[in-house]
Amino acid sequence: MNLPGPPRTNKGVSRDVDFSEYFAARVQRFRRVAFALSGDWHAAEDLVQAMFVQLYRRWRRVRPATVDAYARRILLNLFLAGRRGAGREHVTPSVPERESPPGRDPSLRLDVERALAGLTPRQRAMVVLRFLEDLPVSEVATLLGVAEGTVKSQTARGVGALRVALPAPATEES
Amino acid sequence: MEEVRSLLTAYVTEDEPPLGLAGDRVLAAARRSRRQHLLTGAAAVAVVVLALGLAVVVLPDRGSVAGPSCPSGSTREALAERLSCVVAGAVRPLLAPDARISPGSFAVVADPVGDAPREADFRTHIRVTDARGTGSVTVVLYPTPNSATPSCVPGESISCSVERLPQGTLQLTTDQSTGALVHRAALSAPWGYVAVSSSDSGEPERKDLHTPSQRPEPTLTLDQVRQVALTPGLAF
Repeated sequence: MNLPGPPRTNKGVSRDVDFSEYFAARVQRFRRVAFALSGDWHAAEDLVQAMFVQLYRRWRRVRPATVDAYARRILLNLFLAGRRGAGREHVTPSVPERESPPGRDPSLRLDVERALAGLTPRQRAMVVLRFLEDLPVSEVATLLGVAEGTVKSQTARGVGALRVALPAPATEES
Repeated sequence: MEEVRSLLTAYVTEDEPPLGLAGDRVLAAARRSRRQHLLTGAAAVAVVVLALGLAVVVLPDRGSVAGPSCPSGSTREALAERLSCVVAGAVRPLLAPDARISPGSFAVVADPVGDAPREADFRTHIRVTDARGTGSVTVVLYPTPNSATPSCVPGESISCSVERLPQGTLQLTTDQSTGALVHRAALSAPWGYVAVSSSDSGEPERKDLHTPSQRPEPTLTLDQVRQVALTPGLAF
């Protein structure tokens, strides 16, 4: 897939065009990641907008091959910095009731939300990066600045919490 | 782990509200942020340049206080080493090119009078021999406030004058009371006291002892002695 990346020329117009194309191609994906991290669609959009604003500052210098990784790092840093800023915020596993679309299991969704809300921000980030973004352990470890063993153990705890939300008993990872 | 992937994917895709972010609005915000970022950076650079410019204009002598090569430090030995360097930098250019000094350097010696590194009498006496004979240069520093106040009592063989300067009170003396002719500049400053003297004898001055004259005039003129006494790097 040939995704738009930072321009190879120094022209401002070209830069804005390339950036807009990248935004259009990636905004939904990053919004989902941000939602999985924050659990709130408004907060997710704020995170994603802040991410793109920061990305634009460095747009000329980011290589096309690494632009996704760079954007992901910005998003993660923004999320973790925001959680540190809200350090005294009381985190509760209970979430507000919301209407669920017809045909969906609302209790499953609530269980997932509760399970994610019960994780620490870093555990949550590890689970999201590993299983929603499909990143290898090594890349998650690099992004979060921790050892690979830490990623494995923390992710296992996060997965354990999520399995509670599964409708049927899950099999162990081979 | 597939079930966890499916669970998370369903969590972020089901019940997903319409996208509230518009590309043009995000681009405009990004442009504004970038502009502000650049302006802030430019302002910071301007402040630094301004500060450096002010430092150069307002403190023109600071660059040559001790010379960039003079060592710094807070121990007594380091202070003596720094003063040796400052004295050498101030006196050496005033000597004749063929002048030989003894000892071979402008080593400042510290005589402790207290525990703190600066609580000491710093002094150096240099014999200078050139084509006109042997003379000397002596520098004495007491880097404690009110440690000494030069007195000016003109007599038959002593003439003196006093200058009030921003650095302190400077007394210039020409003294031949012990035989040798001595030019002396003594500065009493808020930080302490410094006396620079130059004689037409290589022997150190000793009160009530005759000092033989060994050249027609002191090694340094009164103006040069004054200049050395006011060397900014001598001030602590």
